[in-house]
Amino acid sequence: MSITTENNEKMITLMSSDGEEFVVEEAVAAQSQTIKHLIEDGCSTEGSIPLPNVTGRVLSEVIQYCKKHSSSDDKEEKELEAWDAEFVKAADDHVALTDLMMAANFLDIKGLLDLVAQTLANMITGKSPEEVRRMWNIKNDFTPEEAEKVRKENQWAFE
Amino acid sequence: MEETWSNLQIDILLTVMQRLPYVDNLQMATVCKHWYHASKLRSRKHIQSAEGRVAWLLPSEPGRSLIEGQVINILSGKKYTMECPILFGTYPMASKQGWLLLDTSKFLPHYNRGGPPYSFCLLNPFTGEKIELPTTSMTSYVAAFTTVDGIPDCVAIANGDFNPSSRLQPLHPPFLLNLQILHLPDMKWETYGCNPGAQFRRHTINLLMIGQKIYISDGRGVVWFDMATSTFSEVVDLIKDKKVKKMENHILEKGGDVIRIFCPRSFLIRRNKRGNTTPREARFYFYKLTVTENKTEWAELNSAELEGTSWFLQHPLRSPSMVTKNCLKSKIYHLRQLGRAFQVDVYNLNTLDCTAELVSTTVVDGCHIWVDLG
Repeated sequence: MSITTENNEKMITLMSSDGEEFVVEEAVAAQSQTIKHLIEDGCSTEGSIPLPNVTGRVLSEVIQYCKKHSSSDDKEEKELEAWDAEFVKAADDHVALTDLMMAANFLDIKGLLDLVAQTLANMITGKSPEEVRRMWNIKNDFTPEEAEKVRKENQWAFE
Repeated sequence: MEETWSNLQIDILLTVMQRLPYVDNLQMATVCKHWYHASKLRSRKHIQSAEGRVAWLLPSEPGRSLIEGQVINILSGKKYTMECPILFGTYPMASKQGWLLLDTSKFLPHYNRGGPPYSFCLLNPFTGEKIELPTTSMTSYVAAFTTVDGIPDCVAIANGDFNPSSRLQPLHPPFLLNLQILHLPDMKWETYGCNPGAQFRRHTINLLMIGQKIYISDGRGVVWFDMATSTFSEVVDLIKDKKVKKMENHILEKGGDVIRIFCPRSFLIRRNKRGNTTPREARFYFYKLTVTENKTEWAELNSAELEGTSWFLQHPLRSPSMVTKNCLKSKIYHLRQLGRAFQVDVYNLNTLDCTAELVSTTVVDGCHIWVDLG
């Protein structure tokens, strides 16, 4: 479905995995390489673009990011940086960030992927494996013998 | 979404892991089997790309050997002890992508008498790999090496003889430069003398190796030796801009370019020592050496080139300064000596106007240098 606003901006509709529809300017959506290619291949003319891997909640965050980044020019770089910092802060917990990163990966939005991956890396840096397991609710599936072997491989890193 | 961290798609997990510092990546291998496999996939080449690198602080006493194989990750503030006996009694000359070039003769008795032979070795303290280099009769003040796919490829060492014709400046005697180059497959030192025009002040000489070129610089100028043609270039004067006069300067490599950085002098700060000796704000200048057919000049770096960079500055004689690209915010880590103590001043760099704001100051015990351990 392709509609045009008063400003002559071409609008397209994105549909999330849970059926929520989002109408956005094409220029905003085209920050996602995946959507850009879909538009180029003519997929947007037949109605909304389905995004089976992204829920409505995550998609609205992604669109928020794309809108901000398509409306700012270089002069506002500093402001944009601050906005990015607030944006990942708002996503808050690592589960939301992981969803966001998977969406950024699927939609191929490099800036967002970099931002979220770096945020997650910063959260992990300096934590012990046990702390990471607790935070991310990961089960330690090594047998004691395997754990000892893995530890020995790089023993010096555990001082 | 159903996925959790223990079965996250491996390419997504890798996107995060490749942004972790080296040690954190090793530690995360023990979280669970899935993460272990991901950390193994992060290839050696990948680990040593500029993305995931941090500079490490390595204790090294000038005039004394490395006391223990202990390194500090400045980002996490954690200390690690490497079980690497070769580090004892050696002196670090240069570092690159996980490798250290060590002078192994500096603390042997014959060295103090000024006699050869001098010996060097390349060591990767993480993997324990070690490459002994043939001994040489030439002592060295500075050294550098190149790597190809994370493996050392070519080593250069430099020293100088006093130029007997010019003894007019007793404090900074100009001297003639000697260069020795060793290609690792050949394992043979080749000696080259610098053209007489290139006279350097020994106390600030610095060596950089980028591709086929070896850049030799001091407080006055830079000259380079092209290994492909075995020729020296003309001397290029340093930036004569008034605004950088009387500023401390650092030279380093960034993505194949020679970069010169100017910052407020450490010794001036020391002279004003009262309470906090580091200014809250400082102005830095970044220049890149650009060589075209008819012109050689220093061009200021633009904001895009400074974006997301971390600069690790130190006294050029100890080891070259370094830069990595691994963060969202640009930072400067300035390692300075204040009397007997060493401290790291951390600045946030505004890439638009190159002003920097001091965020923190960390004092480290004893003499340290920045090393590129991957």
